[in-house]
Amino acid sequence: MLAGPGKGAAIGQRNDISSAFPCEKMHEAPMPESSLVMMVNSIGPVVLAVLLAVLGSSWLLPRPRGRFVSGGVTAWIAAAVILAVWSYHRWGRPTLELVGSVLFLLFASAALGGGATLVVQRNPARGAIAFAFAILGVCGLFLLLAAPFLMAVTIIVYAGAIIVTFLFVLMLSQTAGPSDENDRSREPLLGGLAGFAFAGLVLWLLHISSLGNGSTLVRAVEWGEVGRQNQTERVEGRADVDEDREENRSGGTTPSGITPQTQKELLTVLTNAERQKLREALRRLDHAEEILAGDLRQEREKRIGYFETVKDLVIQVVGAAREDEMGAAREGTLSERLVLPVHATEASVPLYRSDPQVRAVMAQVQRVRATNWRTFKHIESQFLSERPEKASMEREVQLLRQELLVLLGYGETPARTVSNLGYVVYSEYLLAVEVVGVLLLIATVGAVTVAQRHTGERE
Amino acid sequence: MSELMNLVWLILILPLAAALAAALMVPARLGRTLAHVPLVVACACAALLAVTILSQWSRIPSGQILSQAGTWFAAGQLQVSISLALDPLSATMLGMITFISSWIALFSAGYMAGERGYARFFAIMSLFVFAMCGLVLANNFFLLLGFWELVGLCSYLLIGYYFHRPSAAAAARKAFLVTRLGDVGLLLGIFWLWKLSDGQTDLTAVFDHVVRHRPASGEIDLACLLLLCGAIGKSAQFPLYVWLADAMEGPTPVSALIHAATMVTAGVYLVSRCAPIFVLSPTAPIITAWIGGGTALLAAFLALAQTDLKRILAYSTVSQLGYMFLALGTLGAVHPGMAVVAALFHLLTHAFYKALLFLSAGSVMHAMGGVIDLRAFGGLRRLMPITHLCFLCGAAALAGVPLLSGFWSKDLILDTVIAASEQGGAYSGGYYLLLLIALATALLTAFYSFRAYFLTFWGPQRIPAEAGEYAHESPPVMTIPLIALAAGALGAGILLEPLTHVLSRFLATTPTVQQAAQLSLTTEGQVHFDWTVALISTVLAALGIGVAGLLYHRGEPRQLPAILEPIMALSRRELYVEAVYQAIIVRPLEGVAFLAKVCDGALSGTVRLIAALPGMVGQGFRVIHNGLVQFYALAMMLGLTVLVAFVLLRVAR
Amino acid sequence: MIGLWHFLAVSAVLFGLGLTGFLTRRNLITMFLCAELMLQGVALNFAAFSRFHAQMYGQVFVVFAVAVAAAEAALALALALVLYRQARSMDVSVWQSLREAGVPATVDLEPLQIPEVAQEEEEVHLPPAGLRPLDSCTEEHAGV
Repeated sequence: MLAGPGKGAAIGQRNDISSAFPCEKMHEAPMPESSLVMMVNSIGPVVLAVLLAVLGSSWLLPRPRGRFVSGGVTAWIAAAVILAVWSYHRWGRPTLELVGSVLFLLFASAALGGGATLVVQRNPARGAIAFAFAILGVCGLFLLLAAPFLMAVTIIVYAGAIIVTFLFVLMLSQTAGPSDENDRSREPLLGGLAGFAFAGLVLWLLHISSLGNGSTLVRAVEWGEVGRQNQTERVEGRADVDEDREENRSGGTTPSGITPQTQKELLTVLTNAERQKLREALRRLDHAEEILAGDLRQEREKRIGYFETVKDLVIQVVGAAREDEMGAAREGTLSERLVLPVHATEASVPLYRSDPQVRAVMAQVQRVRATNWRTFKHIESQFLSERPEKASMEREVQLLRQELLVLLGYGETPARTVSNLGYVVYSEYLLAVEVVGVLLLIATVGAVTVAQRHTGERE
Repeated sequence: MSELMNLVWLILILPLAAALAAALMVPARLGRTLAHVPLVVACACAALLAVTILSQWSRIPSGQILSQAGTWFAAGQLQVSISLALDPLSATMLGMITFISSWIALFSAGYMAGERGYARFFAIMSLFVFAMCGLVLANNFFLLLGFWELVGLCSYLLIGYYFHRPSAAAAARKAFLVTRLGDVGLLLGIFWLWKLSDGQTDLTAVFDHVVRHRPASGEIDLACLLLLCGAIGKSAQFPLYVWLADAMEGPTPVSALIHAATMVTAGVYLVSRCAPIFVLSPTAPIITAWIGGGTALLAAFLALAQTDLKRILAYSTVSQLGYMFLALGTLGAVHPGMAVVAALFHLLTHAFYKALLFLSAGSVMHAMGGVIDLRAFGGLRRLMPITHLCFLCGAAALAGVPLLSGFWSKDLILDTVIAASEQGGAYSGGYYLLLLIALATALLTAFYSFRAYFLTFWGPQRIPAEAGEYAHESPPVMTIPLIALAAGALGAGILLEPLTHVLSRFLATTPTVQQAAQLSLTTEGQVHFDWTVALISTVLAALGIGVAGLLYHRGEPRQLPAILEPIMALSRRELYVEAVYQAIIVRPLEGVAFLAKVCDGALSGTVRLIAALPGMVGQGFRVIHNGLVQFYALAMMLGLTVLVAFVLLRVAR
Repeated sequence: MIGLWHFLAVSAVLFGLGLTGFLTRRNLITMFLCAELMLQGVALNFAAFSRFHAQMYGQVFVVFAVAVAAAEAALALALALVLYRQARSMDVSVWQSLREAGVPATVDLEPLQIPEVAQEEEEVHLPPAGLRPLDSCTEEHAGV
């Protein structure tokens, strides 16, 4: 899954990470100068989508003389499809894994569908319900972004409080029968144009800024003696993206003459095989926890057996990629691959990224590496000792597990973001919290005062 | 000598102080009853001072005192100083002005009693007296011009005294504008004289310089004619006489003082003052004579059939002013002293009897409740005996009944014209013709003056409805001035000139007259009394009086003799002069004014259009603000979208 | 950055949908819901960036944004209630009084199609047991 933002970053460390994803997108050479036409062509789909959306909205927004529902819905769905295809074409698949992509599509559809329904729904109560669905979709997206606290807060505040208040006000302001406000729109064409044109402009902005963003990467990729083909396997899913990028590559070469293929390989953090090994290690660790749950004295052999396996697996990934040695305290494959190759040999495939995100991961890995070995030693001593301490062993196992997760790129679980968020909010933004609290109090009092019925004195 | 000058300054300042006092009284309640006091007191004191000056004339050695009070303004070569000159000419005028105005002030205290704006009247009258005194005393052309304009202003204010009446306001405007036309000529003449005299503006300096350096005769002609323009305008000669008849819209004391005795004589005074240069000019005097003579006859003709008593008197004033100009027109041909004396003598006597006639008319009007139309009343001789007798004295003096003042002054003018026709050289025939015109005018004068007399005081007694209970003799405050002026009308003439030659001897000592006398080619200083002409004029006067009595002694006849009918009809229509002026002058000017208004309208319309453009644009854009929140949000979002698209395009490139 | 862009795309489309709804719908409730939808899009955006920058600050922002959204929703709904009480309608177009003087009010000219409401059949009202029905009916009287 996706790695959450590191805690180090949360405690104020400026890591300047610009991507948590291990994969870098492929980019082409900087745009040729005569590219206004090209630019216009490249955003043609956006313009088409905006026009279709405007058309659909002008058909769907409430009108006194009836709405052309089927046409409008068709237009909107067409616009959404065009947009999805274009963004997929432009920026690649949204996530690494299938599940992630499907979930993203689902939640995005819920959000956009709910929003669309809210905009065109005549009955305001139904509109409120559609809004609730939109909130749920957005909350799902928050979850995908490793922000569970935001999800919870949004659901509580919006779907819980605000929508209910809306419904209360709806009940208190009943209008019977068809009424102007529900069955008419103010300037549907111009309003739709303003809204969707603005959205289209933002999309165009995204398009432009994503074009130029990879340039830093190109400059930063300076290879020393580079060129060797990475013998590791490709990470799954990259192939599709590569194919789509065929025309975008436009034959541009990097300064150092590395083929794009190699580049992509080089930019991976972990190979698939390593990933599998780490996962296996994790599984063994889970078993190790089971072992630890039981009586330690009896199961000593099993303990050692499991630990050995784990150790093997982990060391294989973390310790050394070379088959030859164990790498007692030396830098292993991973760090080598992540560091500028000072002393790179043919066997090692140096990997370097100026990407601050990766550098942070790298630093973390270094730390993990440092502690990992100590942890190993500790666990080993514990596992292999005569009288193991259960609590400390459990703790060590947990620690190892988390470090492996970090290596896997999972980092910390999304649940940690809650505590990180609390950390940040209550340290750096304490004053803002207090102020917002007072603001909410004032708003409450104000709302009550404003909505009071003035009995006796009529204005 | 300096005390005399101080008295002169005092004469000047007293009416001004009275004007200020009366003006301050305007808002006060006292002003409604006591505003006449400053004027009467000031005029009386000024008259006494003038008499004092005249009586102490022997103390002036050179015949003139000049007093300079400082520089008014100076700009480059132009230096204007406040300088006054007291010489016999100005002293005579001063005496006449102050004397007449004090009686008229007294009269108007009674006449204007109860009027709205009582204090305003006296304030402006006082200001007028001040300005007139300043005019005759001024020794600087620009100062003279200033006072000239000031009397014009006072005349405007007083003609338009009843400004609520549209006819009065129109008459005031007309008077001001018509005299303005003449004033343009006066201004140009002053500038021309300034140039001719190499930058002098004081009268004495200008005359000295011109006499010494003798510019070309054409240049002097131009100067004299330009000055004459101003005189024509102010003294209501042809063609600028049309304002005087309408000026009768003002209160009767105003007509008496301003439009009979003083302001209209300012033109005569100006020409008399400028005698030196008029003598030097070859053509200006004869032109003056013809203008004067022609106007006299024309005005007398116009006065024949008028039905408004004051209008008759107004045209009569124009006619008599024509006589004065005729007298001045002999400047080149006879001894300048004679011409000036003749004009001034007639001016003095005319002041007396015309003021008397106007005040009598005012008394009648006061009794008749404001009606002055001859057709509305009649046979008042028993109702208003004092007024009747005074009017008779004035009418007789006007007609030239022998031994009365008018007879003597008119005869002096005729004698001067005869002398001019004998000595005039190239223009002798012209002067002879003018003599005949003057005699014809005398006949007409007698006729119309007694027509007015008979229609007013003879015939069946008719009192108009407006009179109500007011039809009684005027109170003493109004009749005493009448009696005083009647005394003057009867006796002033014989006392001043024919036997004693007081006036001519006095005026002959005027420096400017002496200067003119030196320039003139004639040497004859004294005018002989021509018995023939006197007899002819007496016969004509008797004829005129007789015909008038015959026709009108029983009031308005039902039918006039057939001979006189067309004449009277033409006269009634005032020879259609108004219509002619309207067509020739007024309509084109109105057209020009309309064009100017159109251009101005176009300009201001353009400016207004430009000023209105933002408003119109805003009005167009106002539709956007329809108060709908969603519309505003939509507009904002569309704008933001455009902006972001623009920025992205720039970035992407 | 694989993955980030897709989330951002979803967020952008959510925002655009919410914006469209806010600008076009006239019911106050629906308008506010669309505004909340916009906020959701933004929250998703922040969460995605937080994830892909491996920092917590994005999520912190989302927490505060949600808190403020809750406060705003409370007040907005109170105001909607008050507005409804004033105008007896939840139509936002009722409130146009801040328009420029001289600009006429915007009224809807097209009539709404009022669907034919089927007349509810009158329920048969049975009298309490033991009493004769008062109405004369064609059926036989039950019982006595």
